[in-house]
Amino acid sequence: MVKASKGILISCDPAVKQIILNLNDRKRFIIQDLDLQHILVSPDSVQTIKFEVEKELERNTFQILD
Amino acid sequence: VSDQIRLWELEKNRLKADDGVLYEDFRSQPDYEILLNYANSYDCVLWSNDSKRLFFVTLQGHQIVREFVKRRLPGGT
Repeated sequence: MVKASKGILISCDPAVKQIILNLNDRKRFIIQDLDLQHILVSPDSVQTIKFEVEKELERNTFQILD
Repeated sequence: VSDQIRLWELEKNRLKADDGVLYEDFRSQPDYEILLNYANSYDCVLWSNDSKRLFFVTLQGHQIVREFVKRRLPGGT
């Protein structure tokens, strides 16, 4: 009657969420897309997500500096 | 330099990850509301969406909510 599923709640701004959605195309880890700023992901994917998002944001910063 | 640090901090804060449990598939609106209110009274709800009838609680909150489900909604979880 009610379902409880473990996971990690990712809270972020819409731009970061878009980066995460793109990552998910390569490797599926999203359990549920909740809303504009929240996603539920599998626990073992968090380190990868943080690392990849950081990398992507840094890349964008450098592009602006160029 | 301070601007750079501020910018870096800003980016760090753009993503937050919290361990917990998502509650979904509520049979009725009252079931949803009772459980959400209960979870809210323990201050453990990190996110909720009334129209989708979904909410996310911390791991500690899950222990409390799960006990409540067993008592109040027989056959739950």
